[in-house]
Amino acid sequence: MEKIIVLTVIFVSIGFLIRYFMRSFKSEGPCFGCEDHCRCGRQ
Amino acid sequence: MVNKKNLTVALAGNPNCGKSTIFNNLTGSRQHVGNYPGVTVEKKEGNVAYNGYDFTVVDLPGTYSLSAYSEDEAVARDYIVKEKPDVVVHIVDASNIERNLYLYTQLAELDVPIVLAMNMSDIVEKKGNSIDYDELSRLLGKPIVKTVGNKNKGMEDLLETVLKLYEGRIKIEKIKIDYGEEIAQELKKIAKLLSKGKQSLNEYPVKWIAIKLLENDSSAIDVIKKLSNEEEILDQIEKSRHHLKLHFEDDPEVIIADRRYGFISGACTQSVRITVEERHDRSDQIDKIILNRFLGLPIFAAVMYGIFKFTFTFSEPVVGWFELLFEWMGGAVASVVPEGLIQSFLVDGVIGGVGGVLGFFPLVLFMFFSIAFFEDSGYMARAAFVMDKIMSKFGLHGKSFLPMMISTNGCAVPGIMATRTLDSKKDRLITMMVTPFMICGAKLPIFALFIGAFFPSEQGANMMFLMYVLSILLAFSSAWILKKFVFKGETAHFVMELPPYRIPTLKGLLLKMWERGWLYVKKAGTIILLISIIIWAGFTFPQMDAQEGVSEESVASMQMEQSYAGRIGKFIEPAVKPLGLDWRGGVALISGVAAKEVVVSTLGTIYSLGEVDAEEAGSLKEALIKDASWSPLKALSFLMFCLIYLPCFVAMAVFYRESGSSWKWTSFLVFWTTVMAWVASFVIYQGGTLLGIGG
Repeated sequence: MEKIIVLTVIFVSIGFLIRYFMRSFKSEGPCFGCEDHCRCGRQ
Repeated sequence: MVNKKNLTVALAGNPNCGKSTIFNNLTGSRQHVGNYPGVTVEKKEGNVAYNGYDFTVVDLPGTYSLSAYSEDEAVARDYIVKEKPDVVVHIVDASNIERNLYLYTQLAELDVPIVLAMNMSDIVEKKGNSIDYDELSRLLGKPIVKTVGNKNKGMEDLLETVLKLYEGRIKIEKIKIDYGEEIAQELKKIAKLLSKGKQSLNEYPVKWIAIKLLENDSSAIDVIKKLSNEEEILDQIEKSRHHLKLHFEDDPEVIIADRRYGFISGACTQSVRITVEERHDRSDQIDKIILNRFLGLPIFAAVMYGIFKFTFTFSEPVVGWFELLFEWMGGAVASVVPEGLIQSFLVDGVIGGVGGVLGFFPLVLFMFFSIAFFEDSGYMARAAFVMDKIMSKFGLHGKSFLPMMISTNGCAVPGIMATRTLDSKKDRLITMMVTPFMICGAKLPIFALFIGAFFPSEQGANMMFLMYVLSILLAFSSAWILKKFVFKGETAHFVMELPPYRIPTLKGLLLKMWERGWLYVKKAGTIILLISIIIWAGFTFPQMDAQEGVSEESVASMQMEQSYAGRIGKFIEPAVKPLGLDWRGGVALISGVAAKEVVVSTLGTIYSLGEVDAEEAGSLKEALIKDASWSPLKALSFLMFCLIYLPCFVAMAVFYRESGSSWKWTSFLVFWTTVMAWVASFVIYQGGTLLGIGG
């Protein structure tokens, strides 16, 4: 049970990370936390 | 026309005219406001409800003109012409009125409804000058509103005037700049050809395109390329330019600019009263010292040293409290959650990883606060000016220093974006290549961790300053090599703006510090957390069974070495061994490509997993000090590598986009930074070992 919970969290994390990195290449992607919204144009 | 309840207002103006502040005042949205040119590169939108209307306010990039010299000018121009905002608010730095109105002459020729906001009108009064706004409004043919952006004054008047103009309750007059008979004749000839057959000029007014063609504007030439009589027009432009050159013995664009300034000068002479003392105002007096050819550089060095000294001295005790907090949290979770995978996940993965990064939150806040102070005061623009002379020796100009400063002040991503203000593509690529060398906010925790662990605390600021100087030297020498061998060509000339000094407001500084600091926390709680979980999994699987006769410490150590991440580390160990690093340092460096803070979170996870008793685990700094495989020299080599190697993934993605989606240049960036980092670390470690400075 413990292993199932941990593995689920790991795979969900991998999924989110892949999504995040894929969107990095788009100009209107998510906020990168680059600390400068107006310049990067992302919210 | 008036029945719609939404209206779009575009804010245009020179860089540093207070446009972003007015945008923030109007929309309540928080935007980065910096006291140096080029803060806004892309347009930004916000909303405000006023008198039954929903205003969409668009903050356009700050521009000096509407020519096609740089991308931000093109963004502003294209927006006004193609998106057709209902009203354009031209924000003018009233204390610098003549230069600011140059943009107005071009906006007015676009035939768009304009309201002039005379910002910083309080500075005009402080200088003892006065402007007859009614007279100026009459001369320029547009309504004028007095505003003081940083005191939030005049905003309601501005909205009211915009609304009146939109509803047709006030009228605007078309202005006609007198270019003189010779130019007017040539304009007429070009305009006649442009109007032939009522062809599309991409929404631009005919006269506007005709002037731009005479000015040899490249994007205006692009517009006529689609016309059926393109050859005929190009032929006429050549004839006209040739004729004007003969007549004036100068380029037509220079004459046109002269006439525009003449128009402004005329309007100002009739409406602005300037005191004689103005030329010797306080900013000029300060600049005599700050920009002095001998004192300028030492002052800049002293300012940067002061920032690091302030940051390290005041943040040290607070960082200590944060470390204790995360130690306590780890112990508390370990005492509640039974030993096993979930406990390890929470203590080693989440708290060990993210806690390592969040522990440096106070340091980041102090750093951002002190940098914001110099940014808002107007000093950072001077820093670029001071650096200009040195940079020209390396093939760059001071304008390239601003992206580097932006990178130091926060992140390489906006730094790379800020290169848009550079006109030459070669200069842009060089600046983009060297901007990631600067110590961004994400690299700060790495430096703070290692400097804190391996160097005496009183040397903290000195070490940080040394790394900062090294980063600048590396960026400059790198630029020189790139300019000499890769991007050959002349450096473009430019005018560096020097905004007047202002005393930063405490509210503004705290707001800026909090905005940037909060993003640091947000990043730690999202992307860093996700990566920490994966790094933890990489070190936890495949799991080893406990072996008889083997101590728990040895099992923990073997587990890490034989895990997936450990195997990767062992695989790359031969490459990092000459730099004095082992497989753990190698894994931390690889993981740092995802985001630089992850270097710290990975080390946090590694050392937390290596600790047998989770409740007794100390801070990451203590763990590094206890680990005999590290030494100050190895730490320095590691820091050097972190300083130079690959920018994070997101910065690379932005580099790719900004380089014109060029895999060639993105691959070159990866190669260049990795080789530079390896060589520099190798020299430091092997050189230090040879000299007997502790291996």
